[in-house]
Order: sequence, then C-alpha cells, then structure tokens
Amino acid sequence: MVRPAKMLKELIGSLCTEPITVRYPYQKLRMPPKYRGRIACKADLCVGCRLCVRDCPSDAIQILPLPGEKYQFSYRSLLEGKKVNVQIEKPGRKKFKAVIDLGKCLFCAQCAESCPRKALLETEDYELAALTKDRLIRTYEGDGKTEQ
Amino acid sequence: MVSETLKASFSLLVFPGLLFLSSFGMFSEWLDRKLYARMQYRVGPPWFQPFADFVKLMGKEVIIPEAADEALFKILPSFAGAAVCTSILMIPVWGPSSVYSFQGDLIAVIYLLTIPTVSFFLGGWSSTSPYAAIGSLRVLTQLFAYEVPLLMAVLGPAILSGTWSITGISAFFASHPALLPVNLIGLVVSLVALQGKLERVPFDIPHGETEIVGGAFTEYSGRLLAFFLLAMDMEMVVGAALISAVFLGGAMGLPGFLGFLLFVLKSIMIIFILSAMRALMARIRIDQMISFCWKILAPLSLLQVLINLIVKGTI
Amino acid sequence: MSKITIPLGPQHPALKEPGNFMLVLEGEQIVGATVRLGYNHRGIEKACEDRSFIQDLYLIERVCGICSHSHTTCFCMATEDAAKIEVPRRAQAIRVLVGELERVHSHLLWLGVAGHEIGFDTLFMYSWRDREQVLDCLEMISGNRVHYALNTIGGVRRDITLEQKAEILKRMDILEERTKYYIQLATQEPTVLARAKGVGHLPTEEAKKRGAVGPTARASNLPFDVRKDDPYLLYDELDFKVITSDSCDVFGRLVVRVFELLESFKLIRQVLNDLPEGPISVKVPRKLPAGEGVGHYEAPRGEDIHYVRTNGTEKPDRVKVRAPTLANFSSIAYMLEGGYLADAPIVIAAIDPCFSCTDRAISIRTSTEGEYSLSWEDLRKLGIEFYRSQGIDFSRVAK
Repeated sequence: MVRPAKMLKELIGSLCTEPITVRYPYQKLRMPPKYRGRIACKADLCVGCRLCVRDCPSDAIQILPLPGEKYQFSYRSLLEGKKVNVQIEKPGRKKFKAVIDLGKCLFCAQCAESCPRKALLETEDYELAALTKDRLIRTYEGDGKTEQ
Repeated sequence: MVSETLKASFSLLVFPGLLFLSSFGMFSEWLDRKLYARMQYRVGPPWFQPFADFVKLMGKEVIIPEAADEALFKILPSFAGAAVCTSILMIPVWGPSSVYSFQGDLIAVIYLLTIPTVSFFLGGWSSTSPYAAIGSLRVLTQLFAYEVPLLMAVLGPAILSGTWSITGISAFFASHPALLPVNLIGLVVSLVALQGKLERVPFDIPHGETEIVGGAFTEYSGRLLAFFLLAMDMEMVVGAALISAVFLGGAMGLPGFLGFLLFVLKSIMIIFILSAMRALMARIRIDQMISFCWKILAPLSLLQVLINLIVKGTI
Repeated sequence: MSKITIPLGPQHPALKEPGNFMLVLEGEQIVGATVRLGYNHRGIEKACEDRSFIQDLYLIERVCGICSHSHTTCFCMATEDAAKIEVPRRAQAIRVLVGELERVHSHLLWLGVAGHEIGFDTLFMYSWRDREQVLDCLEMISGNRVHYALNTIGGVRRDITLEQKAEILKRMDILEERTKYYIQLATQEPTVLARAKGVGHLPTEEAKKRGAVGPTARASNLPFDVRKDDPYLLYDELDFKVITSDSCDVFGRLVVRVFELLESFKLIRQVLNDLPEGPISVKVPRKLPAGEGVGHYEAPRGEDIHYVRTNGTEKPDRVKVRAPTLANFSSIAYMLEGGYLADAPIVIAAIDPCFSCTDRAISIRTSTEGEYSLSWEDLRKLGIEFYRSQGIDFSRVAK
C-alpha cells in the first residue's frame, strides 16, 4: 500500500520539539567512565620495564630516566689542601618520566593494559587540539604533568 | 516625463524591484532552510546566513573554462535576474494593484519566468563540461514537463474571473471570496509545478547533487554563481506571489500597508508548504518525472479548467 | 545520440571514498561501465609483518572504520587458529555482542547514506539520529565510538557490568520501535519505491557466478551467511533467521538490511540475558608457535576472510585480508549497464562499498617459478585438503 507524505506527522511533531543538536562549545557532553581519552601517567609508580614502549602500535610513548637525587657534602682534603665538593647518588629506586606524543598516540590504551604497575590510566580528556605540533608532546613526572 | 522615468526606475530598482526582491528572497531562503532543518531535529542557520553566503561568493575568484564562450558565460546571470525583477512589476504587492497591469499580463509573467530556466540551460551548455551538459539537458526536459500543467492551472481562475490581468483576478476574488475553494485542485497542481520550476526536491533533478555534482552550475564560481543563486531566490518569491495573487485572493481589497502585510503572510504560508514538500520526499528520476507530470498533473489541471467552465456557466 | 564518457571519478559527492567508475553514456542511459580501484591502498599487509601481534591488532582494526570489530575479531580468530588457543566462553559471548552491535551501527549508517544518495535527506538525518543510541552503547562498553579495540589475542579486554547490560537493553527497545517505523516508511513512501524498485537488477545466476556475498547476495535469493554455514564463536547456539529476498534489486537489499536489524536486536537480547560466567581472556605467550590459520566472519557487508601464518617469532610471517566489498565489486559493472545515470549512485551505494577495506591485494612473483595461477579445480582440491586436515566432516556437503 502506497501512502505519499507518510512522514508528515513526524515532521510537524519535530518542528515543535527542541533540536537534538548539542551546541558545542556552549554545551559539552560528559563522557562515560573508562572513556579512552588522553592517556596520563603516574610516573611515581613507573619502574622502567618499558613494556608499554614495546606494545605501543605507533611508537608514541617513551620512558626516559630522571637523574636521581644526590647527597652533597664537602670536606677539607688534606692531600690537595682545599675544600672539595662530592656528590654521591642516593641508593634506592630509580625514577623515570614518560613522554607521550599525542600526535602519534592512537588512544588504544594498550600501554595501560600492559603496564604491570598500573601506572598509566585513561582520562576523560578529549579536547586536545593544539596550534603547533610541539605543544602535543606531554611529559609526565612525579604525579603532575607539564606541557612542552 | 522625468517623474515617470523616476517612478519607473524606483519601482524597478528599489520597490518592488531589485532591492526589495533580493532582501525578501534572502529572507525566504533563510526561512526555508530553517524550517527544513527544524523538521529534521536540527538547528538550522542564523538569519543572516544567505546574506553571508552571497558576500562570500562575491569575494571568490571567477574561473571560466577555456572552451567556454566567455561573453555568454558572463552575461547569463544578469539575464535571469533582470527577467525576474521585471515580472514582479505585474504582480500586486503593495495594496490591491500592481505597478503596471494590462490585459494578458498573466501570460507575460509566466513567459518571463521561463527566461531564468532558459538561461540556466544556456549557462550549462556553454560550459562544455560533461556534467554541465547533462544538467542543462535535464533542465530543458524538466521545463517541458511542468510548464503545461502550470499554465493550465492558472488558466482556471482566469476563466472564472473573466479577465487576463493578475490585478483583475485578485480583485474578482476579493469581491467574491466564496468562490475561492473552487480552485483547490488548481492550487495543488500549481504548487507541485512550482516546486518543479524552482528545482527543489523531489524535482531537483537538474541540480542533483549526488549524481551530477552541480548540474548546470558546475563550472560557475564567484560572483556569477552568487547572482544565479540570487535569481533562484527571487524566483521563489515571485512564484509564491503569483500563486497567492491568483489562487488565494492576493491583498483581498485592503489598501496600502495592510495589503502588503497580507501579501507577506500568504507568501510565508506558501513557502512553509514548499519546505514541507522538500523534507518529505526523495528525488525522482527524469523519466519518472515526465510520466508523473503528463499522466497525473496535466489531466488534473484539465479537470480544473472543466470545473471552472461549469461554475462560470452557472453563475 | 553520440556517446560520452563520464568519470564518476575518484572525487564525487556520491562516493564516500575514492573509487573510479568510467561510464559510457548515451543520453541518460549507461551503455558501458569500467570499474577501477586502488586509490586507498596503504600497504597494511606488508606493515603487519614488521610489527608484533599485539601491535598488529590495532593496525588491522584501522583497515576500515565501520567494520573495525569484524576485522579484529577475524584476525584474532585466525591467529588463535594458527596457535591453537582456546578462547573462554564469556569472551566469545562479548565478541558476539559487540559484533551484533556493530552490525546495527553499520546498517543504520547505510540507511542514512542510501537516503542521501536518492536525495532523501530527511531519512538520512533521522536514521543517523537513531544511530547515536548505538554509538552511546558502544562508547559505554568500550571507550570509543568507532575502533572499539575490545579484542586481544586470547579473549577480550573489558568486561560488561550489570548496569551497562540494563542500559543496552533499554536502548535496544527504543531502536526496535524506530526500525519498525523505517520498515513502514521504506515500503510505503512512493518516491523511495520509485527509486529503488527495479533498479540495479542482479539475477541469481549472475550473483552466484560473480561471487557476491553478504546482503547483496541475500537480496538475490542466495542464502549465504557465514553465521549459519560455518558457525564460529557462539552462533551455533543462538537462534536467528537468515533473511533473503527474491527481488534482486536495490529495494531487496534495503529490505534485507532492515530486517537484519531486527534479527540483530533478537541476538543481542539473547546474548545479554544469557551471558556465561568465567574469565574474559587467557594468557598468551608472546612468541606464537609456527602454523597457519584462517578466520571467517560475517561482517555487515559480507564474508570477511583473514589468513595468518606464524613462524615461531613474535611477528607474523604473512597476513592476508580479503574484505567483502572486493567480492561484490564485479557485480557493480553488471548492474550499472543498461541503467540510467541517475541510478548509478544508489546502485553503487546499495552494495555498501567500503573502499578502504578493498584495496589490499599484492601479487607476489617468485623469481624461479614466475607467476602462476591455479585453476578452479585445483583451488577446490586445495581447500578440501586443508579442511580435511582440520578435521571437518564433509558428509553433509553435496559433491
């Protein structure tokens, strides 16, 4: 059975209702939990095993060692006859920092899954546009983060 | 003598000519796009969008294909615009009478409204690109399909009122408003044929975007395209004004500003119906359109003429 | 009338992805069509050989945006077949669930695209508004709207909680009502019927000869569906129908896809109400033992085949992907001839082309033997030998 103008009722109905468009940027949508946005790193928990680097499909993450803290003291050397400054590294765990290039990241969260210490986690951050490519490289040290 | 010329150029260029038509045309394009969007749960453009599009297109570079005839290519948009501006002079806009009216101006208006279509055809043909050639052929084929039902449908009220001038027809219906429903079939037929003339879905075959890119307008860019699109907007206003004057009684005898207000109201109603038609249907093929127009629309308009002859005979 | 050749070129508003169709026109009728591919070739098969299996998962996922889960699952099935890994039942159920959600997503998207090709923009907007329901479901489960990245070799990565299950069931009810509205609309709106009936005719014999798969074949009355012919994951325990239509034209394909939406809703409800308990993945060593594996999968567009050969290291030796659109391609040339120019976009859109999936072929020439081709008989014998070695019983198959 052919009925022309079948959608007429629905069309008139939609004229009277609010449009469903989200007026971004005045209205923003909230993402569900466990949304795969920007990957962040708690560098305090990192042990430097580099499993994340091995599993990343696009070489987006790098783990770099941080120079450790050093003890500093001075003594008067009898041999040379003047004050000498000595620096000895503190024993203990080494610290690392993570450098993630958002331009290469696929946001697949495979690194978060491979990490044995659960140091990498997915955030809900999705507004990551930048004007130049070097602002896309994010460094994570300690518990905070710095942009580069 | 001088005041005659001044009065004529005022009517042609300012009101109800070029300036009024282009602003009312842009307003009706905005209204059409906004209604179309709201019917689809979307937001739609802001009120100044058609004007912004026009300004943007004026600023773009005009590229003319090498094999095309340059003079013809450049002059065609002004042909279309000039024909449409001339035709509004014979339709009552301000009050119950038009600027110039004479017996037979109904036929003159319909003839003037075919000039933009022919200029679209010539524009596409002189572009010498395959897409534009196919588009221009489709423009002419579509002209053969909808022109006859449109002419016969407006013939009905002319027979009923006994005059050939649009002002006369709307004056007749203003004094006999009870005779308006007689022309219902003619109103429906002419609305569908108007949708075909304006090349809107379901009849936007010459301009079918997903099939032949831009149809007759494929090679047009910059200010030439801006004037073509403006001519199409103005054609929509003139078509709506013609239908409201012939079928809906026009200004209904009210003088001056009130008549103008009524004219605007009726045009908006017609544009609303046209937008709803645009949102309801898919685009049909050219052969299906020809068979639809000749098998359904033309007999309906013949029926309308018959009804009007019978009613004229009885009153 | 003289003939002109129009390129429905790589760049055209009708095509969502680049592909070239040279049409020879006489007036409005198409008298000849040539089909050319290759604009989207990215060398994925070669790139797979340089990366470990886990990295390959994400590369294969990006072969196509809409059938991404099909490609990953098929790749995982092929690798697990090669390395003889057994996947737990809960993981298989979750794979089926996401696969059917993806089928719903793909068919709703197709409905909108087909509406746009025939100029029916309102249908386009309405069906894409309903598609948002499915996308929200998928975002809730997997964390992303396309490219779900749920699979890993040996199972899935994320689990489904009870509130996610309730949310999905609620949205499926909304979608089922809207789908019934679309069925009514498609069969009653005269302009849609005028554009879709009798257009792009592909008779049953031609479809079989040209190897059509998926909804294109099912609309020509060939009941080919990998989920019934060669059940994988949990499909042999689930109850659903294979939809066919005997109108052999674009209208048949529309009807098949819309009714398949209803079947998918039924499947999703069955899987969700009956989710088996257990682990969601097994631990898989990084270096997989040597072997070959083949994976079949019914993607929304047809039958998807992956072939993986491992050689004991952590990188695959050879990966081959045969996407369904490649099988449907030779049918396009047949369907275009004799039709009108105005029908060309909808005919091309009716097989649901995904040119990114398609451009995959590499021909390998060995220097000693030169290029050789196997005849149909040899290929059939090779296939039978392979499956016999896998322990598949042929007594049900006719000669």
